Amino acid sequence: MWDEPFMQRALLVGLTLGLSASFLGVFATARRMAFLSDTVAHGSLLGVAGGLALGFSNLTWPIIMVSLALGGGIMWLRETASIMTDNAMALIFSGSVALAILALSWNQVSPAVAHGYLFGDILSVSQADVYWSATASIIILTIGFRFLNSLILITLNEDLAMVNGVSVRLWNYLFMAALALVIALGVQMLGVILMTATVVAPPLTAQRITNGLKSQLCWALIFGAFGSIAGLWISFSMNWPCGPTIALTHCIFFMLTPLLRFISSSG
Amino acid sequence: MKLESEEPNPCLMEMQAVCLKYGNHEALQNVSLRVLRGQRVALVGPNGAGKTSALRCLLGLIQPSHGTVKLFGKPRSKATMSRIGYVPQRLQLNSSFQLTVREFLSLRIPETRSWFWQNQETVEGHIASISCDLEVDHLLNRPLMKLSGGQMQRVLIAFSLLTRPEALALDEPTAGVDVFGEKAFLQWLVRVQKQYDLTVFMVSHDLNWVHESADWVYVLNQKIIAEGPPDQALSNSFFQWSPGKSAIPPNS
Repeated sequence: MWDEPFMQRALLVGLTLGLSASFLGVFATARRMAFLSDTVAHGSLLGVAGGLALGFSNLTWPIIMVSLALGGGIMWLRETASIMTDNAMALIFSGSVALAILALSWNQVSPAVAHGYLFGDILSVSQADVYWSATASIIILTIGFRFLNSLILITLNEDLAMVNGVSVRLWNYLFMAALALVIALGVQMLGVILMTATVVAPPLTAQRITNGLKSQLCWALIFGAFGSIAGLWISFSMNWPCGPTIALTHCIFFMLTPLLRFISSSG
Repeated sequence: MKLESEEPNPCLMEMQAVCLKYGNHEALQNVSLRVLRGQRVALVGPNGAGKTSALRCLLGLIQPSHGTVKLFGKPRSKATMSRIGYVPQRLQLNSSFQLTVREFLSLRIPETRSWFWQNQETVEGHIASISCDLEVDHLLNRPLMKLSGGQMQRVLIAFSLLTRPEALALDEPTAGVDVFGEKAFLQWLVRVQKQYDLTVFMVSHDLNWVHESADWVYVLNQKIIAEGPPDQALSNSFFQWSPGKSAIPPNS
């Protein structure tokens, strides 16, 4: 099955995005940004609708643009708005999805196309997506590991980070941009509804079997990559839809952690 | 040969006529204070008096709308900030972040290499002596998330002391500490201050400690309403302080 070009593309995208999403997920979950990831993922449907309306043949760019705009908008609201961030995100979540569905309806987009973006479509992964995912993941992981000190300090306490010379605002926007980019690149394969599982599940699974952030990061990357590959393999073998299978695989790993912990403690 | 001899500035932290506004709300009005070398200076006041805002202004975390802040006699810079250790009230922790005390302390190790690739020997070499001095060595393998309030404050102070600062700025360090641990923690803090020859500036609600241990007290309620040695500053009728009464009455 790995001989098929579309499977090779899906494997590379799944692997690279599995690594970068789980790395970012360690900090996103610690900073209670899971709902924020979900908002950006769902809001990216607006990029699909906009791209189709404007006649784009490849929707990667419109999805990336809309995701980055939503991520930046949410960060800006966190800094300036007088309403609670959660409430603002709920409004953005509903508003963007509603507008996207209406735009798809106005453009008479077939339900099959919309379905593909909601739940993921393995055939939609192009060669360009492979290059983009690999490049984005390499950059995110290289910068992330190089500046882990700054990321950790910001996660613990923004004032403490600032006193220690970290440009908190810059890093907050960079982190949000990286998260939005990874989500945007993943939604074509996993779907807007299921992409968050790749961000949230591997760090939480790793947290349950490790003691220490270094080992949590390592295990999150392993679960992120392995979950994507295993999900892809199961999806192909069983002829199940790709997005739900990968998301479910990540969730099953999480549910199996008590067993893994039991095995490691008794061994 | 010493080319230049410089007398250390006796005033480590200084605010002059600082005003701070959040929208229409005036959080600080014309606040001036000085922290002299070797002193234990306390900033006290009711809830919402602007204590944390004053501390954040002093550390350059927020810009005052008016007035000047100087550290070591100079405007705030990276160099002056490196001589001050900041101890926040708490960390934003949740159970999904598995950072251990050892890993946290190793964030302070000045190295060109990324934190992730630090080797064990370098880490131990840097943190062993401080963690032993500050009695946090038995906590090194524990996740930060699982520390009690008092243990967390000790670890935060150990973190600050790793770069050998000359002053510590603490924001309500006993806020998350139970009544029994509070006294022991504050006695421990005085011992650490003497051992490391530190100047301490502390936002506090613990009037007993302030009365017993502070050298100088500023009483803040948007503006400085009293200052002086504890006996004098706390005799202000605003507090009606008496031994055994540790809490500051809420702002009415």
